[in-house]
Amino acid sequence: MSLATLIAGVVQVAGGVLGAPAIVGLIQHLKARLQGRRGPPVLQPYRELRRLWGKSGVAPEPHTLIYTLAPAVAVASTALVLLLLPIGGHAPDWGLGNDALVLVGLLALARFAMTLAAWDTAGAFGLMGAARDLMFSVFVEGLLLLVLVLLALPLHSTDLLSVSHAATLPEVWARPAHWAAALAFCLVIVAETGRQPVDNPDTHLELTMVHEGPLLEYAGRELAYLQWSAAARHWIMLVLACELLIPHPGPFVAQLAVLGGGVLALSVALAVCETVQAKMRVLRVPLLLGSGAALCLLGLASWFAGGGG
Amino acid sequence: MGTPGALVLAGVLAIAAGALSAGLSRSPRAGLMAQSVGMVLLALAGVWVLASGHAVGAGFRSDVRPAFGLDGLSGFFLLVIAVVGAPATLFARDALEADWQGRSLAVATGAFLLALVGFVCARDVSTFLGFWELMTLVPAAAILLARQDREARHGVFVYLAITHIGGSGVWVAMLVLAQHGALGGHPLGGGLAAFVACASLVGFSTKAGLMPLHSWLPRAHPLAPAHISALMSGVMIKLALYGLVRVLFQWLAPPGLWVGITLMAVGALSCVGGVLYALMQHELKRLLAFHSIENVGIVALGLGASLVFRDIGQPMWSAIAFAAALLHALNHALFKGLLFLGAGAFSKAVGGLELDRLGGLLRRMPWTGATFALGAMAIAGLPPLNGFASEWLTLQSLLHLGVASHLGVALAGALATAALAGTAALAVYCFVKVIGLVLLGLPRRSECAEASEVPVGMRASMVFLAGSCVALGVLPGLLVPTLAALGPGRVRLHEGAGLNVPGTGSLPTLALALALVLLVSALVRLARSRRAAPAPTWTCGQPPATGLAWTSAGFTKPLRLVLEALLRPQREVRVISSLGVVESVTYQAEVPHLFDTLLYGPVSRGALRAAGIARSVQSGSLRAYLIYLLALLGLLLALARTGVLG
Amino acid sequence: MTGAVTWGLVVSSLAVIVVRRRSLAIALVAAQSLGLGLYALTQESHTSTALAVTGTVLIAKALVLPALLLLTVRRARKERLIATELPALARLAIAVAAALAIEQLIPRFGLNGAGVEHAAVGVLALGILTAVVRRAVLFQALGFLIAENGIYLAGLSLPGGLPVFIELGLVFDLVVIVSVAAAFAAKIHEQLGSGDSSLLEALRD
Repeated sequence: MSLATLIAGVVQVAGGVLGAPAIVGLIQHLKARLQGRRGPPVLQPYRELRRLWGKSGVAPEPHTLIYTLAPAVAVASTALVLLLLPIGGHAPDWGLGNDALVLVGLLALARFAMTLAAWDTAGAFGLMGAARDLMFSVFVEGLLLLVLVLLALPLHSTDLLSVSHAATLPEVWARPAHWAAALAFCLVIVAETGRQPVDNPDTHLELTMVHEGPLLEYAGRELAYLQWSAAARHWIMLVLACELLIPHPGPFVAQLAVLGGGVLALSVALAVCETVQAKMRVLRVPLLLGSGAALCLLGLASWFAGGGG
Repeated sequence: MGTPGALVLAGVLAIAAGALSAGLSRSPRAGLMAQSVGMVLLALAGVWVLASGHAVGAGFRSDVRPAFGLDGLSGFFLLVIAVVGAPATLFARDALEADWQGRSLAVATGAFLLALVGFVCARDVSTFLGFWELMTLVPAAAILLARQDREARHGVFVYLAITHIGGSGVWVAMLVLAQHGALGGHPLGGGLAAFVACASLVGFSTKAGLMPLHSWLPRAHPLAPAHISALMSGVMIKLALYGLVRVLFQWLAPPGLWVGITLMAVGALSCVGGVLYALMQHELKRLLAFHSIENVGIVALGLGASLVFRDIGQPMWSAIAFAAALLHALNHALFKGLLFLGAGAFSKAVGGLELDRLGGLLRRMPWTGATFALGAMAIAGLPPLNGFASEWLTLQSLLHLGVASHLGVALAGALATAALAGTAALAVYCFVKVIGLVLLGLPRRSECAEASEVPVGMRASMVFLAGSCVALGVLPGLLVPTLAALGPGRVRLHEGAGLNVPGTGSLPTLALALALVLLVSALVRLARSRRAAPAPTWTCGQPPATGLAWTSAGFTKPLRLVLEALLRPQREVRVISSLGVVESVTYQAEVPHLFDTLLYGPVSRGALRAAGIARSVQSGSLRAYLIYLLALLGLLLALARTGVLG
Repeated sequence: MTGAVTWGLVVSSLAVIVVRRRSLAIALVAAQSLGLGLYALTQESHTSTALAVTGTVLIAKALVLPALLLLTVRRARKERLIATELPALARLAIAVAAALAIEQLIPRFGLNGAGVEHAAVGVLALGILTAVVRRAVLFQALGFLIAENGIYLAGLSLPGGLPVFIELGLVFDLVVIVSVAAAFAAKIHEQLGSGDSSLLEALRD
């Protein structure tokens, strides 16, 4: 194990577990500033987590083992995804491989656990959000797989390490396919992290919630798990965007710098996007994602028009 | 004959003896146990042949002499039959009563198993076609033995009509192949190969339930008793794909790229259409039947991708796609069998499978509920279970088709990948709904609140199937290289517990499963180290009422609204009020099956009208018929005399 | 001798088409079969099995079957006669025309003489036409008998003679069919009150 992979491993774990809430805090702070408020400090999510960690949980009346297991499953699968991410083009061999489709599958497991928990307590509020979340996931997964097809074009592989290596090749950036994938992936980021215009993360009204829905029934440490898991999704999506869809220089240190700067820049971009856009009607979100899919197909056609290979 | 042959013979004899004894004795229990033992022996034979790689018995022959034999592919499908057949017969032991109906159903089960085994072992055209017909007819008989009401009769009629009309393609294809000696090892080529490919595609995909020839499946599968449904859904439709594999991969010289692309298109349509209609169902067995259509579509996608890879010259990916399709066939047999048996258990405990009138069954029936939930997770394609392994492999094959060098093929691959990804997400949606409505929440009927667990035999069969799902999910790498060797290209893959495929980041299933289990248990311990405060669920201060609970239609409403143009849901609200006071409100909503209204309806109406016109020839008079006879004779003689006819 | 037999066959077939009473028609057919059977006996190669077989055929066709048909007619005596049949001359004309047409169309098929061939084909055609132009159900059975006689004549005139098994098969066939026809005739009488086969059209839905 070289020094690069060691550092990559440390960043994977530490960045994901400890650094993820900072991203959420940064976005909230920036949004507030842009809206003319003072807003919560950047480290506020850490205080939230510490507060929740100290509280006891709830055992609602009609509940089964699924209520207890769901937050743990969501956190476990998100944590395993952290170990699949390439950092600066390197990743230690944790024995879990580095496959993009395994990543998608684990995120699906987390979503499954959360939406199932919404059924368990016989309360109706969580289900509204769960139904919308699952409906979005149908289109988001299709779009995400199309983006992965485009990303796999240069080196014919879905291994995340290969794909991030492909992002360092200048000839890849001369073709429109990768740019199309980058634009489509921006839509995926917005949908997966639950930011406007797809979803409003600050609301807790049942009529407008999507991702926040199933969280209503939880308290204490389990709620801390779920809030961390939402923050970790931000980290995962932004790291993927930086590693796979931003032109990279070759050396490891430069790549780390690009990663750090990229995550910061994308957080700022997310905050600006949320401030500028209003929330879309739920039924119009699939149209937006469909336009992303059309863009991907155009990119695919352009790859072959430009000579393939 | 060797050990596998002896095992097969012993297994078949055991099943036959079981069927006979079930029919003749007072209770079918002993007979069904014998059938179960027979299936286990057949499983051993299948595994033996698969592992050793040597064929047993006769090879395929083009003349019409009955012959039986077993090779790698037949052995694999024998395994598929057995892994569902053994638990299903064990389940039937406790599910069937000891009266006339139960005994005759046990005999029908034995006959069905023998027909399935015979089809897989058939080695010449007469046995192949004979067992193909038996395979269609015996479940129809079983359905009619169990239920004689009008709905059952109509469902069986539609089933037999569609499978026979579509299945004529199989007869045509097989007879042409036999006539040209293609069965014995000389693949048929040329223009006739294209014709045979079309005929076999139509014939086998009707029986497999691929859209648009699937209309019989959602009608017939819910009517049968639970264990027969499990066999039909889990095994019978896979054997139709077995026939397709034999024709397209072994007996025909490659007719061209269009066969693979057509199969992929049909597969993608079945996937997406199947799961969409499954989402909109509100009865459990019909929902599961539509899911069978979806999964058969996934297998067809894998087979189509394998054909396309073979034609563009990538033998390794052709073998991988083939292995993915076969693995998914086995996996689907396992979890669909489990889900149907679970539905049968719920039906026995509660009576009635309307999703909106179940609920809370996980606490009342923990074993059945837990295994059903596991089966649902497997079919939704979640790691680390077997559904994820085979869907991952299929997705990888389609993705690598999407990066192929030819634009048309790449577009097909990319679209198929997106379709399969959407299908997987839809399956998750559907099974969250199913688990939530059936197992979780409050019981919505008094029968659900008082349901008790089913007998041990039924539970044991479901636990076995659930365990196999987990085992195949954790160790698919033990089976995949053998399956890849069966396909075109003769490629050997890396052996191991997980799936290590070049061009991907690998799927280390064992490590993933262990890591998940460890992390989850650690996190649960950590969260529950403080005592949780019991509290009622917050529903604005009211106690949770079943009248306000979510229904199946409500949960799927966002998707129904988004896809309104595609699904055309129909809705009717009737308000009856007198003197300004509302007395009753009736609400009726339905998602009609578009294939029925747009395709089958006009076709059957046109056929009936044509038959009505042709009927006027039948006057009912004996003398008129004799006149027709004489006139035809005279005409033929005149034609012969003038030399028109040879 | 052959000429007399063949002419006798043809005339009796034509007579069956013309006569009104059913018992008379049955008697004509019985006489036809008797004549043909006696002719066959004289033609035989005198082996005992052949004689026995020919004798059996004679008894069956000339005695047993007509007796069965007479029995059926006797049981159904009390009903109105069929008044709306075609006139006798018209029937005869149609039958003769159709039989001649068919005879012209059939090429030579290898019997011992052209005259016998024409006669055999003609009698066969006349038998089927009897079933067509007569409306009483009984005449369907009689027509079949006549047609069988025509085939038997052809068989007698074959160059190698008719094999024993085929003769036995033919007579077995005949016995079965005529028995079934007689049973059906009785049933139709019972259900519809008359032997008019046109009434069967009312059963179609």
